[in-house]
Amino acid sequence: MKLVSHYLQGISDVGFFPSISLLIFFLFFVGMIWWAYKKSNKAFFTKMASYALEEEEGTSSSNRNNNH
Amino acid sequence: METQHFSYDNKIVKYFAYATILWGVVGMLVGLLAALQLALPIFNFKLAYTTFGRIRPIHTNAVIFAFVGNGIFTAVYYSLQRLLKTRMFSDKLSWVHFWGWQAIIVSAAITFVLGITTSKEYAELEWPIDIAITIIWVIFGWNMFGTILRRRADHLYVSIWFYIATFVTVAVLHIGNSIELPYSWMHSYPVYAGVQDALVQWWYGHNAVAFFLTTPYLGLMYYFLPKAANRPIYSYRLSIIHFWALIFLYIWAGPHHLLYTALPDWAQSLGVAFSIMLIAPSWGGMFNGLLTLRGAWDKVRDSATLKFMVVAVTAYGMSTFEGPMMSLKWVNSLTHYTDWTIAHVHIGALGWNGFLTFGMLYYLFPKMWKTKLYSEKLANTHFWLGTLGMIFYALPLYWGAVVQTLMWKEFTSDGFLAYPNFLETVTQIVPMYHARVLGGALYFIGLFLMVYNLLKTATKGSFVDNEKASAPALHSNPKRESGEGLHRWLERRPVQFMILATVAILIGGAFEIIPTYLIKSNIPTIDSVKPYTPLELQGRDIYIREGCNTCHSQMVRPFRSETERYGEYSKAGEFVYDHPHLWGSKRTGPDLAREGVPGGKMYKTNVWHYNHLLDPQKMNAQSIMPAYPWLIKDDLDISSTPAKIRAMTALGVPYDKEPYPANYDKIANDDLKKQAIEITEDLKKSGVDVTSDKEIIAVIAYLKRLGKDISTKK
Repeated sequence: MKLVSHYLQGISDVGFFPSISLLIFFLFFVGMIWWAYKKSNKAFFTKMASYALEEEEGTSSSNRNNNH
Repeated sequence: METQHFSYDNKIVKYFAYATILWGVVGMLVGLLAALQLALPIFNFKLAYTTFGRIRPIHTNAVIFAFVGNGIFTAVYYSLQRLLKTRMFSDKLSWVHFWGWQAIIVSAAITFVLGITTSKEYAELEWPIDIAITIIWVIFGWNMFGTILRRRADHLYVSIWFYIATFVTVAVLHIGNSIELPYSWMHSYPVYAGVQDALVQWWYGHNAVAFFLTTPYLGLMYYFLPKAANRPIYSYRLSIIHFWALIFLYIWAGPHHLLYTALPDWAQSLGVAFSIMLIAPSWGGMFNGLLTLRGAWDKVRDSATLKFMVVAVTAYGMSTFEGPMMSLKWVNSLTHYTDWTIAHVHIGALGWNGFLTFGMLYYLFPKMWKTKLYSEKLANTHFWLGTLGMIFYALPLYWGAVVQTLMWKEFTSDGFLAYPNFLETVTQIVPMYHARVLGGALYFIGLFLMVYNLLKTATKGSFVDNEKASAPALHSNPKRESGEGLHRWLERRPVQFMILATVAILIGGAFEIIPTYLIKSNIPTIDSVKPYTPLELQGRDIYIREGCNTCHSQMVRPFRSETERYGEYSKAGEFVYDHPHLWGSKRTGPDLAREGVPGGKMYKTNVWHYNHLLDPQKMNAQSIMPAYPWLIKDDLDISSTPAKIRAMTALGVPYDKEPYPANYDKIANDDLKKQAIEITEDLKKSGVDVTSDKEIIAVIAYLKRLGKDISTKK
């Protein structure tokens, strides 16, 4: 503990780190929302939504696919 | 594309499922005992091994890490293979993981019964077991990533993201919170002290809820709910957004467990802000789960599996709304330290985790044994018993919490506390503790019906250890294809995905933890605060062994209702030598932070403590505190004193500085004996005949020290 905090305190302006990380977080998240609402991804999302159901052959997939 | 033939490992899933059921029964039975003990202290049996302070961590750990833990692994081992169209990476790793985890659970139960504990909530296990957990967890991750890398499916389905985030975060949390310095082969002190220790503990504690009880179960939900309902997820887009939001936000919310404590204000505010934001991604998950059932609600009527899942997701929504509300400072000032917290976590544990596990098991058993459920009717009965059990569990506790907190805060028109005797406020709500036992019993009976039902289903069906499957080989292009979005590419690259997820949670962790390391300069030191004497240190370790901190906080909040009852509010600087901190999170008994202040509101004599620990009901007939008669019989082990002093010195407690003589560890026992004799002589004056080498003397010494350091000026 003494060791770690010694080195951390030695970094100049370490207090700035949290602000940078908040900024990264915010930008990443905005990017994620933009990506999620991009039109070209819609078909992919529809496919992925029923992904868990697709894996077994023989389950009645016809009625599912008609519904959305 | 050529088709490849392989098999799914169902046997490991079966074993994890059986372990889930077994530990569910054990954990909830112990919970029932704990509930009984709070209603009727006679159920502590006057035995060291069975007092509430030791039973409570067995219950919480068994339910969280044994029941839900095995539930997580059941879900992961079943769904991962199928979502990736491949067998688990290594059977050997699977079995080491399985038996290793069960061995950890057994050793946890044994050490808790023996009173071997670090005192940190949900991280009570001592250092050798902490190391074992790390190893087994890495084996689990290795097996999971091996499987992901050998997959035949191109994309990683949303459940798998949740599993990856769970693996990474739990590893970081567990290691971060378990950094401790051993002083014997089964005991250690944490490197953090006081405020830092509390902040790290609740950074861990809250995220254990987030990443052990929530994210893996969301992964479970995203796989088993669509399966059981035979419906696609309502919105895959929503699942992406709420996944990233959840793992980013959760990690910052820990300080909401420390509102109005001696934690610096900025950290408290940060915790509140992020807790409120958490409603959004949590409810995103809830709506996504419930709306997946759109157009399929008729199935809920017929299927017990779906009934369990619907109530589970609803309970998730309730507790993730309630949690942020409890993080508001003014709400928290009322609910904290009361049974409201206990009711809140049980909505999560019984509702979200319990019911989702039951739903999964009711789905898995017929599926894996290739038969129908033995009795759908019995499963329905289980559902109603469980639901009623939850209501009967939670409502009395909510009611009791409101009653008690208002009694704590009520003043007479003359400005005195209306209920100055803490015990009055307990006696008032003991009927609620009885009602809670009823709720727990109903829930347990339901569980018992499930055990019978599932075992019958298993004997009826036929189990295939290795289920045959086939899928086309994967020819994956590691490069981003033209027009392929970043996230879609990312989903195909599990290693990059893991790194990003790690960065996501580390950012939050860094924000919270870096200032922790720097906090020393933020804590005003108080000159009069001195290290514990060797006898007090030994007494403190007995206090930890008996789990006194499960019912007694040591943190007076700056409210008039608290300073009137207990004395001066707690300051950050008072705890600089507290490895670990013992602030506590629940007041089943009164706060003890000012217990030792001479002439203070809480002050008791040596003989009072002696008689009270021997038989609390003799002092107060209504008391629900267990008796500790063995403290009077058992000799204090002073052979550990030098090692303890050395460990504390290494952690920065100034036993190596003035006024302590050089090599204090070697002569510390002289001071210990001297102080013990003083207390014994005082007891003798009051007519109590006890030798100075008993454990109770050390406990009294510690209790008499509490809060004394900053009281002398008055």
